[in-house]
Amino acid sequence: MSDCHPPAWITTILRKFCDPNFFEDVHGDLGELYNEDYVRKGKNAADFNYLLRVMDVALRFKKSNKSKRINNWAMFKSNLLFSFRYLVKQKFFTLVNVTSLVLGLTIVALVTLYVRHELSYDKHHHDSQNTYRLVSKRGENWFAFLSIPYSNHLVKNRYPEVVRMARFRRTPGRYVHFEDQVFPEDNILITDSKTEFFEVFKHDFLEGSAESALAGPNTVVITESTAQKYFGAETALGKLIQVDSILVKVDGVIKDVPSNSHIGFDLLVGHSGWVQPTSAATYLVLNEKAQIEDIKNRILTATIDELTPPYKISDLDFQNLPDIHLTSNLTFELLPPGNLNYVLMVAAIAGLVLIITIFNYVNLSIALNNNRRREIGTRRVLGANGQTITGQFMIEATILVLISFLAAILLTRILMPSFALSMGLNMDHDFLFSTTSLLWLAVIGLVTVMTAGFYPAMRMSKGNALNFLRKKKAISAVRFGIRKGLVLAQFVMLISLLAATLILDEQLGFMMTGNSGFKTEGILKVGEAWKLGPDRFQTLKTELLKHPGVITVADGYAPADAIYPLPYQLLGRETVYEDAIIFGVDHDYFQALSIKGRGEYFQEEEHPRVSLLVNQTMMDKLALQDHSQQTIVTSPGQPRERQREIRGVFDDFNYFSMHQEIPPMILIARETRGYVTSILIKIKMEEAQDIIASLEDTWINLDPMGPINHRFLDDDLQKLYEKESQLAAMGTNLSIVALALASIGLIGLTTFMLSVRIKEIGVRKVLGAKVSTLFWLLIHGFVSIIGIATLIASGLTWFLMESWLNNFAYRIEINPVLFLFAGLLTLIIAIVVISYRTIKAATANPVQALRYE
Amino acid sequence: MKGTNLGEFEELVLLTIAAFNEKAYGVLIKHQIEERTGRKVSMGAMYSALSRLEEKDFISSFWGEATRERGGKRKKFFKVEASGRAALIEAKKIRDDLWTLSGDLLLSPNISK
Repeated sequence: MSDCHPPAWITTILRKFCDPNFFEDVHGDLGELYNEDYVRKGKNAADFNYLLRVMDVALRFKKSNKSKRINNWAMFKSNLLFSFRYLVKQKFFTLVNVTSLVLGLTIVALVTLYVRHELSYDKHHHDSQNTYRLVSKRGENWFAFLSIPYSNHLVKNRYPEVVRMARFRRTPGRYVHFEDQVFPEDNILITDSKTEFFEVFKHDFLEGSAESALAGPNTVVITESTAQKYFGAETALGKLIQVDSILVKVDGVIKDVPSNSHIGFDLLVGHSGWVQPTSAATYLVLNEKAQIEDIKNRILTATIDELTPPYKISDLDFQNLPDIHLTSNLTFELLPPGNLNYVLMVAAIAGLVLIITIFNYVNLSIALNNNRRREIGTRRVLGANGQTITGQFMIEATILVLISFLAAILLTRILMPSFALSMGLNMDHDFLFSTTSLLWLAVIGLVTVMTAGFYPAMRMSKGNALNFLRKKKAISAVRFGIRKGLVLAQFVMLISLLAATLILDEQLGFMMTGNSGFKTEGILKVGEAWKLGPDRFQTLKTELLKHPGVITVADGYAPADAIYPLPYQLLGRETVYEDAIIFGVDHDYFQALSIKGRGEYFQEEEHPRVSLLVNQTMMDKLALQDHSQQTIVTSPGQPRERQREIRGVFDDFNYFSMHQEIPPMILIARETRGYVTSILIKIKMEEAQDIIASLEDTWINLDPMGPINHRFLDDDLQKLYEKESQLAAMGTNLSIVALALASIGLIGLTTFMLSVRIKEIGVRKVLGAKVSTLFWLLIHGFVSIIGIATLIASGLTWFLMESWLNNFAYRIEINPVLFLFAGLLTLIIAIVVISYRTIKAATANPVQALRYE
Repeated sequence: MKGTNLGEFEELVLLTIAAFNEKAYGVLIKHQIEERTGRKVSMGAMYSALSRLEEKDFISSFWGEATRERGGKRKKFFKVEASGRAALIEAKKIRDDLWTLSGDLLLSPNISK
């Protein structure tokens, strides 16, 4: 019968609540009855009966409370009063402590919100867990879209596992007309009419309904703020607006798309004809039994109509909807993707800050409690037991944390918009005040109270009460060791943070201003220039060049414009490579970007109709010394195959970010092209404003197909390093906070140290010690702590940052002087902070110190 | 008069202990009473009765040897003390007297009316 013990937790109830003298009497009997029940009625019934009996017995034979029959409420009240009095009396330290807690909690709150926001992407849809995005591989590249024949195939042949399907594509910026008003819009998605879009993605409808929306052809669903913009307070439903050239009827108004969705839009157009898309973002909701591998193979092997080579995909993948934001980084993502590593990194730093905060609290309160030993000793001698004392410290911690917590929430609320901006989030305001967020923060606050209050409370409630009353007994070295350890840990974190931020900044600076191979300053970029078309582009060019501040106007892809590699081959060789960036430019392109080159193209004034140029990387890749007499075949074996002789070699420049190696490039230069991609305008920066104004005017007058989209090229390039910039900003802010926290910690430690050594200082002074000697005596300990911390931090940071830097194809080398600098900076700040109290102690009249009481 | 009174349930418990003198313990008493009266006995109620009886010195208890059958938990045995015995006899006497008084009447069939 050894295998049927009654559930331990019920026995625990009995032990906890039952009179201990009686426990053994019943325990055995109840166990025997349990066994009988177990054999006769089975485990569940036995458990149940056991529980009933335990309750029955425990209720009748309650633990008697005679020993603790103190008036708890009165005790609590007096504790509360004591705590308040104490906190008010120690204004300075209370302030320091609250500041430290507020800073720490605010950081943690902000980061918690950030992390939660990043992790919450697309979890709110109808069946997120079973919703997948289909992404495809063409050539060597993965795209966030599925090419249209496959997408059509899935619509026509609904697989049995597919519960719902939605697809859409992005359109570039368009003009939207309502009555006589025109609104430029760049956030438009187009989906099929009669779509299941709103059954896949959940949106709250303010007008219309998810069931009826986009049912007919030429309909549109707009967001609340768009409706507000177009129609003011009027009803939007049923109104007719014109998107580009299509007249559409407003079929519904939804709440603005939440910031934690990777599919953001202002207008969702339902259109029967798809206006010749090449690919579409395609989403499937699968049922529980679906085998992804199986579906994938069926799609890849299906016979699909109209499958010409540019549409043919080589591979297919299913991405789970909630994972897309943090794990997917393909060509043409809808939103700049998040980075899970950075999220984790930021979370880890916030964790460190919280730990520093708690260390600080513990440090400061131990330091202060040293002055309260007599109070506590008296209370204990007068009969306060451990629980009462612990209670008092816990109440103090709770009061402080509560005040700090409220202040932190307020501060968080104030700081959130700028924080969100610096992290590139558009976090909704109500995100902070959502129940889950507040709950999370409450848990963090509770943990802080528990850990921060626990250690001081434990120390003061244990031990011989008489020792508390004796003349100050030096605090044992072990405890001082713990505190020094805490301070060391703080400095290691601080110096690591500082050094890491410095390295981050240096790499960022290197990427943004480093040798990219072309000049980015003073270049105005007009994207989506196809809206203008080649003829009107020539008019624009002529108009702009009339302005004395305009140096060059060129056409071609601007660095960082999204583009994917194409196949090519050197004539006479077998190998077909698929990694070249190939695009057309006009003759002014090289001048606009200040790119130099060699070969006949760069020497002669007159050019043939078409010139093929390659970069140095391409020459190296093909192992060519001399480009003359060499011919390149682009898109070999495809309808667009062309053979052209190389007419020049231009110097390498970073088309993509410094994360990537410079790709092999082929540029096709023509006098005028049949197609315009981006316009690059090199200008004199002094006249930028004037030029931009005339550019905008000229653009409007040319009556293009959509609103102008212009910005400076260097702003555009900085976007490539957005995540790094955000991290650098975060690093800087956290370093400042960590510095502040560490300073607070130092104040605590100095105060403590001085309170222990005040007599010693007095005696030394009386015996003739100089102020400078005393000062050194008091601070040399910190100097060595910071020295050790610098060493540890250097190793740690070097290791971490080295692995971070390896993400970049072009990176800086870590300069060891950086660590020295971070250490020195910390040391100087530390000395300044310590000096305030130390100098006061060192210059004080020794009589003050030596006088008894 | 506290100390001499016997409640009905107490009496049952005390009698059972007397019947199994020195071998009576919690579970056994519970089972015996349940078997004989056909009613459920709650452990709490029974322990209350036992502790009252012990308080009145009607019974005393002693610990048995730890045995394997109960996972090493000892049994607490009860035995009836002299005053308990006196109380039982007293109770029986009171009843007997009353029975004698009412005997003829109770046994006649009209009583059910």
